[in-house]
Amino acid sequence: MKRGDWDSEYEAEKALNLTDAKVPEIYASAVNWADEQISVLQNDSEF
Amino acid sequence: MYFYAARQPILDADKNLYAYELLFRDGVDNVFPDVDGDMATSRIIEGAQINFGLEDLTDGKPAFINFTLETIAKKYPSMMSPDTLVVELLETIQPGKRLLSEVQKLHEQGYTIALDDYEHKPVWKHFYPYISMIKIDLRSMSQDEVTSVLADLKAYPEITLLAEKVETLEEFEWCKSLGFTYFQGFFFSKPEMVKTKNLSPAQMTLAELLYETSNEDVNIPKITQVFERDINLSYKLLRYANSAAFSRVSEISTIKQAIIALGHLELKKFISLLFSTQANSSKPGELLKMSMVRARFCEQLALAEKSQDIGKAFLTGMMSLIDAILDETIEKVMEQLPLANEIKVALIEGEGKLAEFLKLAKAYETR
Repeated sequence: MKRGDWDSEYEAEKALNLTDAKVPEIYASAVNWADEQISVLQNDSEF
Repeated sequence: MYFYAARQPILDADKNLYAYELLFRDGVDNVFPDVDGDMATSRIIEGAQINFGLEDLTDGKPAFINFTLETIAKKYPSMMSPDTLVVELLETIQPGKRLLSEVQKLHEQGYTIALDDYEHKPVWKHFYPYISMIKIDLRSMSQDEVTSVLADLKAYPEITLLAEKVETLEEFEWCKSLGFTYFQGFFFSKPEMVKTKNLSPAQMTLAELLYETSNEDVNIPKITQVFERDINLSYKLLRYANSAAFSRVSEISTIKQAIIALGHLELKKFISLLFSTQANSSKPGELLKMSMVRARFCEQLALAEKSQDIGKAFLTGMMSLIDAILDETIEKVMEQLPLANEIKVALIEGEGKLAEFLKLAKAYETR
């Protein structure tokens, strides 16, 4: 998909019956989660 | 971590490719390393079966592999199909009753057996009924000796002759005139180096755990067993389960406790994170972060959609950049990883519900 391809994004959400779900919020929370995990991994040199 | 090997073509009289001899290498130098024969055989079989895939190494032709008596006794040849393997008995093996018994068994199982760097001794006559091929090293015998050996072997027409270390056109023509069927040597080609990315033993253990945790019914005793085999992984699991991220009332001190306390989903996340972080430390952290975002996003989408495949969605996202992390094609990596088929289909073919989650993740990355 091209950058900013809103139609494709909408089609993907529609295919998943997720048009009502707060997909942008889900994405933002996934980014936060990844940041938290990486900070845990970086703070623990054993990993 | 790379796996190295070399292959040298074996040709027929019309110079058509008949097979490859596979040779173990332990680095970029195209020379036989200073390791014993048992180690070389086991590593080349491991490489052919796990790292490369035999098809890739030999382009679908038979593979000639050197075996020691020990590796034959340990049944290593049975790790490969009789259709794909020619068992070469190394010249260093002392012929005796034990070898004869192993050779008879291999013959019964349908394996093609060749004598490597053949030394013409009467004792080998006992082996002739089970041997399909004799390799004669042109550098270890004079032309008169070769002619004499071939004259003796005429009584065994079912044994095919292969000339080794053919270095000139004259030698090739001379061998053809003597009745050799196959030819190998620098005149045709030097051994060609091949290398592939290799999953380390720790990554293979993690791959096994990924598979175990991707089942709906998690087999806790089995997972506990896999962890207990690897002290390093056990230690990391206990540290993770006891970390501040989970507020525990009492300390977790056994592997089983840690697995139960984390629960299925957390355990799966822990294992896949560990797998990705160990995959390639030289790759930019951005790839790892992107994998984690995709994993979490796919998991949460599956949850929002009330899908049963929450764990598989997480793993699909997590593994979606593993080709870039390992510098291998996704098909090759998936051959090595025992993941659920839906995940492989999503990653390789882009088909199915899990692929839809991934598509949406990619769409958000480009915003």
